[in-house]
Amino acid sequence: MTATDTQATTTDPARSPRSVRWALMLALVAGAAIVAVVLGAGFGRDPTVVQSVLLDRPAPRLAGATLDGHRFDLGDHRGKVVLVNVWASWCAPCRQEYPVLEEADRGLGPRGLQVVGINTQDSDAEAQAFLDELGGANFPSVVDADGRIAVEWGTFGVPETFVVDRDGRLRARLVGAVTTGWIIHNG
Amino acid sequence: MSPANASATRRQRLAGAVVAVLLVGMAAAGLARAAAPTDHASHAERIEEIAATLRCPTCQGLSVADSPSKVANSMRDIIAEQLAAGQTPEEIQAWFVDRYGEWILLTPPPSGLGLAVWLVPVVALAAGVTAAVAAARRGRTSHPQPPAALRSPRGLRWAGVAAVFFVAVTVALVAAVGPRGAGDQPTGDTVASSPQQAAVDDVDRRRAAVEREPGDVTARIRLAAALLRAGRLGEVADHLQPVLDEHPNEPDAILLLGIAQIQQGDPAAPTTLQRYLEVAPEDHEGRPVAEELLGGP
Repeated sequence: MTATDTQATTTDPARSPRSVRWALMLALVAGAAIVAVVLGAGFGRDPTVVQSVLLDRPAPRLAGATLDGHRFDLGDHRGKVVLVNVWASWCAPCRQEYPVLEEADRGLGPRGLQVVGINTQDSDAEAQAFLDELGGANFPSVVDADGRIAVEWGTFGVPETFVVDRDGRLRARLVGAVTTGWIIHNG
Repeated sequence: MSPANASATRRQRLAGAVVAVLLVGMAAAGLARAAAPTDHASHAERIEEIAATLRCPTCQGLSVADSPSKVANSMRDIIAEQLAAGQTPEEIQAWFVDRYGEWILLTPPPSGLGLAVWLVPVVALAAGVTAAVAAARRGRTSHPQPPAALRSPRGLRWAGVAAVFFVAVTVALVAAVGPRGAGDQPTGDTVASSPQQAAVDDVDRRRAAVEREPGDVTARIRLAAALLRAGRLGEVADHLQPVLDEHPNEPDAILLLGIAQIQQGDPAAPTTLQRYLEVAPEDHEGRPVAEELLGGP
C-alpha cells in the first residue's frame, strides 16, 4: 500500500499536501503509543489475580460426607460465621496454613466461628495422613475427590479461603495461604 | 481513451468483480459452515464444543477441552450433566460465568470492554480497504511508476515511521516484561521467588563475601547460618571449624554447630550446646533456643 501511495503522491503532490502526510504520521505514532501502552499494561499484570463474582452473594452449596465419616451441610450453620478452606494434601501452602486454621478454630470456635475444609482432588487416605501428621483434625472437611465442589465455589487452585456470614452470604475470599490477621480482619 | 480501450477496461473490471464476488461468497460459505451449530454432533462432541469456549481455571491459557487437569475433567462432567438435563450451551456458559466471572470465557462477550476486541478488526479492515481503494484509484488516473519510487525520500520516510512503530512496541514489551532471572516465573515479574530459592541466593552471596575476606570471622559465621537455613548441613561444620580453631569460645559458631549437629542426629549435639551455654554471655540471643533444644526430647 505504501508503494502505490508514494507513487501517487510523487506524481501528484497536490492530492496529498504536506499537512495530511504529517497528520497521518502523527496518527501512526499515536497508534503505536496506544498499542505500546495496552501491551505494556497487559504484560505487566499478574494473570492470577481475578476478582471474585461471588462476593456478597449467597454462598454456593456445600454439603456432603466429611473425611471423618460424618455429614456437613453449610445450610445447617446459619447464624454462624463460617470459614471455608479449600485444601489438598499435595499442596505445600496448605501445610503451612493448617496451624493458622486450627488456631482460628480453637480460639474463635467458642465465639461462633465454624471452620470447615473442602478436601479437593485428593484421596481420603492421603488427606487423613496429612491431618494425622499435623496433629489430627479438629474441624470437619467435606470430601471433594473429583473437584466438583471446588468448581461450584469458583476456585482457581488450592489453598483458597472464604468467609460466609451469618446470613449465608459470601463476604471475603483469599487465594493462597491464609494468615491469622486475615481471619481476624474478615471473620 | 479510445472506444476499444474503454470496452477492454470494462471487461477487465467485470472479470475482476466476478472473481471478487466468487471469493467473498466462498469465504462466507466456509465461515457459515464452520460456525453453524451442528445438530447431528454426538454428545461427546457437544461437550467438547462447550468445553473449548471455557478457560481452565488451574492452567495458564488452556481451554477446558485441552486441559488434562482434574478440575477441567470435573468441569467436563458438569457440562455433560447439564447438557443431559436439557440446558443450552449458553445456559451452561452462564452457569460458569456466575462462579468465575466473564474471565472463564475464552471469547469475550460483545459488550463493554470486550466490544473493542470485536470492533477493532472490523474498523481496521474497513480502514485498510478504504485506503487500498483510494490508492488504486489514484494509481489508475496517474501514469504507472516503476518501483524505484520506493527509494524516493518520501518512501524512506514511511519506512522510518514503520521502524519507529516497531521500535516503540519492542521497547514497551521489553520494559513491561523485564529481564527474566534464572528462577523467575515465565509470566512476568510479579511472582516473588520461593523461600528455597531465596535461601540458595543467600548462600551464594555470603560465600562470595567469605571469598573476598577469608579471615573475616563474622562473614564465615553468616555463611554457616545461611547454609543451615538452606538445609546444607554437611557444609556448615566445614566453615565453622576454621573459626573455632582460632576462637574456640565464639558463641555464635558453637551454637550454629550445635543446631547443625542436632539436625544431623549427631550424638555430640548436647555437649556442643552445653558448651555454648557455658561460654555465651547472659543476654546472648541464642540462649532460649539452646535451652529449648537441650530441654526437648
